[in-house]
Amino acid sequence: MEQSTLTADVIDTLNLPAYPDLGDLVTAVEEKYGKRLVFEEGTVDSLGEGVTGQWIDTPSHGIVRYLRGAKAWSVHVVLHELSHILLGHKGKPLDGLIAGSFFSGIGKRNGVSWMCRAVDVPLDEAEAAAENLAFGLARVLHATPVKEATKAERVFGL
Amino acid sequence: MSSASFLQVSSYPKKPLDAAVGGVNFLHLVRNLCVTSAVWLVREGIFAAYSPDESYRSRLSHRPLAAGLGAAAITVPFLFQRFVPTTQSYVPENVQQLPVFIYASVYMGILALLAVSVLRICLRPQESLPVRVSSRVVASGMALVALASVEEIAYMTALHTDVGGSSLHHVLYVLFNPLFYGGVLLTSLGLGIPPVVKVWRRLQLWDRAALVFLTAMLGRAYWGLSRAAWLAAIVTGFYAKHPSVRLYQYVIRSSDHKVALSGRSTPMLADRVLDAVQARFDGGVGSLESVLPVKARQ
Repeated sequence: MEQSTLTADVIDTLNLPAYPDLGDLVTAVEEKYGKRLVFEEGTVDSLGEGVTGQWIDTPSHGIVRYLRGAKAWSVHVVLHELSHILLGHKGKPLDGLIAGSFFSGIGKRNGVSWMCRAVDVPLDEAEAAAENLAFGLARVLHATPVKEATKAERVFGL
Repeated sequence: MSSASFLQVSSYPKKPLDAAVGGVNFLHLVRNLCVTSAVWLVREGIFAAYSPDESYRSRLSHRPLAAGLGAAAITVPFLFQRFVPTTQSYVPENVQQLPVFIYASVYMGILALLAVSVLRICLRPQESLPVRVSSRVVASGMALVALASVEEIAYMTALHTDVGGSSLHHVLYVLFNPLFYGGVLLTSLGLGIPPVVKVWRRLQLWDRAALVFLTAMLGRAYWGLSRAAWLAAIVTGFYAKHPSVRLYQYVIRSSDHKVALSGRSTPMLADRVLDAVQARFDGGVGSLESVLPVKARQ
């Protein structure tokens, strides 16, 4: 998937250091978000069947929950949720939607909204945009520093 | 390219060529000077690549003057011989002549010195793996060339001084070709490693092969592609600009299937390829606690 202009623009606005790690990215997102983020490992039971991650926006902070799996994949799920924040998505209001165990620790306070990364249904526009941006962010995170070439490598053009 | 052996195994038209330069084996001298020049130039190239800096250039042994002296050391004794008509076995037939013995020995000695010089620079530590492998293979080749040269000097000395029997002479004679040409072959192979690695990296052959394979095996199941779109995706896998980007998508989709869509199995071979690709992206299973302030599992 080639980077879209939107993805490139969003990444540019983060002012990330060269070869950032996930911590750098979270810090940049928190700055844009204006709230701190809390990360929690979830389970299939707590997140729901086919759901790999969720972002819950509360008045005081954001909560990102993700399923445990291969590290690269869990990071990608987190990136997807961070992408919702970066794209300014508002989420769906919590009230009256779900009363499962996942939300039991949050309560149904006014102003709480949520979004989730589901993999068993076609992505809607917002989810597709977040997934695209997550792939773009992953490219930034997985970029490897260019090692300074040795003399022999330069001679051979390696 | 020994003084003694080369004329017998080569197939170029010696007589007419040698006749053009006098018909008294001057072609032998010309050929040996050409070989010496070629080894000299290869050595300069290898030093340019493998030496840590440029300081070697200031040493006499790397200056054109040294090359001129070497050429003179080969040529002068050649000129002092009692010339004979063009012959297939110039050195074995004439090594009893002291100037021919010196001429051939100096030539082989210079080749040995050049080979040892390259061997030493090739044994220096190298940080880069392809360069390290290349330099070690070149070193092996040059060790064989040096050994062949010394062995050839021993052969000519035995002939010149009439030491040892014909069986010893025969053994020394037949040893040269496998040692020398084996060395040349290894040196060529070693020097070919970096360009091959360069092409391999530039073309991202492994990534392309993995992408085409995964698309063929999993493209339809993972992305729900139509038959036409699936075939198109396989074809574009061959020339994708960034195959690793698409491989990453397969890694993510694979985990989506494993973790959240349990029950949809991945073919074993495709799973192995995915594991190999995933290793590149911090593939281990585990918590993100090391990279994020993660709260306990809910």
